[in-house]
Amino acid sequence: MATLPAGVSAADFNAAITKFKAAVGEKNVFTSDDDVALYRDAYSPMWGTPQELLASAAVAPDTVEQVQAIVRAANEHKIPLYPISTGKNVGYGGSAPNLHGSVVVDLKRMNRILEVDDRRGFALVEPGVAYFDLYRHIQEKKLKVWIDCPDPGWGSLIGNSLDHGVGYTFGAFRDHFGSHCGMEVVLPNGEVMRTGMGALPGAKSWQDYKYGFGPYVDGLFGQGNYGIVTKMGFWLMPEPEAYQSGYVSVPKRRDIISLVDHVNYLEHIGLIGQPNYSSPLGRAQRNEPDLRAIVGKAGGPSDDELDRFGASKGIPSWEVQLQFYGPAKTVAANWEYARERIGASIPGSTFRDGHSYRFPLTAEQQAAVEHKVALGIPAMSIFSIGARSELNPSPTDGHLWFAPIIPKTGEAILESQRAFAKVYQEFGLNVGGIFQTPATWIYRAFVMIVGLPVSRSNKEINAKSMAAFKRVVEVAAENGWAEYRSPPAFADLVADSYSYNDHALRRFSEQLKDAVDPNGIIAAGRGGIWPKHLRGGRKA
Amino acid sequence: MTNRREFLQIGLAATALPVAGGLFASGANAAVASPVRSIPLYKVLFDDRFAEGKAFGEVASNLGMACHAMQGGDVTDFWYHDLDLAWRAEPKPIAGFTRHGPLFVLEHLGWDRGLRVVFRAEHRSLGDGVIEHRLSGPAESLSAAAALAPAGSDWVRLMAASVTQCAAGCSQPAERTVVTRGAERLPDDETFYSWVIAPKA
Repeated sequence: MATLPAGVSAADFNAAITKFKAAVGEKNVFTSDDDVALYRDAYSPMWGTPQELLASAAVAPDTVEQVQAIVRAANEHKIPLYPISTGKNVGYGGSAPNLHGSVVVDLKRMNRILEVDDRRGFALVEPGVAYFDLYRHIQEKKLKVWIDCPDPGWGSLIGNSLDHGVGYTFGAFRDHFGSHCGMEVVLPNGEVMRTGMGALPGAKSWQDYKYGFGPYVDGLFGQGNYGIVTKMGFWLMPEPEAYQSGYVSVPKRRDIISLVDHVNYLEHIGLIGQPNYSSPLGRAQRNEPDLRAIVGKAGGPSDDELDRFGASKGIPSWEVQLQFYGPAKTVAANWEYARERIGASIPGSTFRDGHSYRFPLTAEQQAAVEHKVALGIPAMSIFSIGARSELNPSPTDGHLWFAPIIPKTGEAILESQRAFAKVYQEFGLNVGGIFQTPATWIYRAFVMIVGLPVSRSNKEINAKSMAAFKRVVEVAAENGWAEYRSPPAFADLVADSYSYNDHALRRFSEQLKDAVDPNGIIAAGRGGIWPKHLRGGRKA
Repeated sequence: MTNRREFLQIGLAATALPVAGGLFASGANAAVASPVRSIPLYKVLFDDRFAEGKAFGEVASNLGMACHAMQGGDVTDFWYHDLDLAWRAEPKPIAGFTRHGPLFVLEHLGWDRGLRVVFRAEHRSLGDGVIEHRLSGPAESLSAAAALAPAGSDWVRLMAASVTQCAAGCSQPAERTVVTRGAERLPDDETFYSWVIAPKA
């Protein structure tokens, strides 16, 4: 028996299902418990509880016209819809809706690669196209462009982009929403709209120029609920001639401040792709009980204590991997320049070469690449890691990503480490800490991401993670930081922290929602934006 | 009551049969005589970093199955170079012995092609040589699951024989839990899975 959306009668629900079947064919409408269960959030902290957010049914269109028919039927019967591309966004909600009982609009059958141009460097795709699909297309046609993919690479380009997903190559391409150019959207009234140059009939530059003329509205559809995106263009990186990585280590804890400034310069001036920070001293804790004692003492260690320990053992505080892409000559010269620049500025800094490649790779070379996504090669290897520990006895049950944005400075790293570590310690969670380094996917900001454990068998773990999540969102907000994306269970909480001038941004977004989607049928609650009739149920 | 020696002999006999209803088809002896058709597997995937995975692959290979050893427990290569292409042509059944990650990935990718996990066995070390096997699948395939109990350290070979001959077109799903004794601890005390993914009935 389907979980009906709140406020929807069985008669209306059944009438809508009949219309969905007429639109897409009976076999593409899913109402059985077994089929609908496939849309559960595999990592839900509320798995199997009355609070779990579940779909009532799913419908899988194959064309834009079918999406329009679904939207019109939903409007007629006031059925909440929750569009997904391929629904592989585990850790951020997967394919489960923000509003319990929504009908999932599953766009995976719309999987056409409409155009890839390796001279102008773009692809135009439908929502069901996964990173693996586009990569295969490019490989088979021997096109001279790279994709930038997240880890794992099984998800949809459009879905990932619309959730502000990120990747691993050059800054401009790592921001998957930022590197899109032009979209087609089925609006809540069933009309089809194209954005940017796509609004020009017969446009010849839809995927070349984002803005067209007038207000730029694409941003409304990222983490938004103003329509169902059915096509999107993405800019692609030209295949470089060569790749070289290099590692820079610096000895002292506060060297991170200068190191980040130098690396930012290298990145923002276009010499490197994604830098990857880590802490050799942090890693050394495993084998150094004295270091663990220093770190674990009441009030935490001072910078001097950590520096003295590091110096005594010859273990650097921080390391960063720099990744150079481009012509072989300039790649080598840029690495040399980085060494000179940092070496002249940070006493005791050391350098070592990393991997080096010339493109295209042979199949054997490609198989041997450790971090494939850095070379635009989609992978699923991330599912091969995830160790069991005393504090996370069920790593296979998933995690909740807590992903706060902080400024791209060394000072912010040090400050946020201590602020978040205090909360994690309070809750007995073995994440974060004073050696945590930021995720660097986002071009102009850092993300101090951690995965809070989820368990299907131990509700106490879920309760603890959810309480910690709530607290850490509050602590972030107190410090001027906030999340850039969130699992549905916490969307309201996170949106609530963006509260400047009595939530002026949310009030504006909801005014737009009321105007564009008066029946509130599209993705209610996504991004913390609720239609008027459901605002009373906001969770924050 | 089947004793351990008889059970192993039956298991070995089963591994030599091209067609059978699965080791647990309807009593261990039925493996030889069962008229139940087994699921025709396209490939058998295994994690060859571990002795248990190698043993599983060896039995499957001896049974004439096409096998794929995962590199470093990573399913990417199998997915991109093999299975995705095969499933584009036709969603074909596969089986495997892996950790949770590859099963999780292939189960989800299989859903998109109309496939489901039709048999799943979760193997967990309980200490002192005891391994718990939580089985779920077609009732016909589990009816004699208790016969696994005397397998001791050979449990993985027998599981391979069973999984690669999992009964096709069976009825109601069922669950059984069996314990074997005298086995090595599973590597890193991780949970391992034997599984079959096949088109939805």
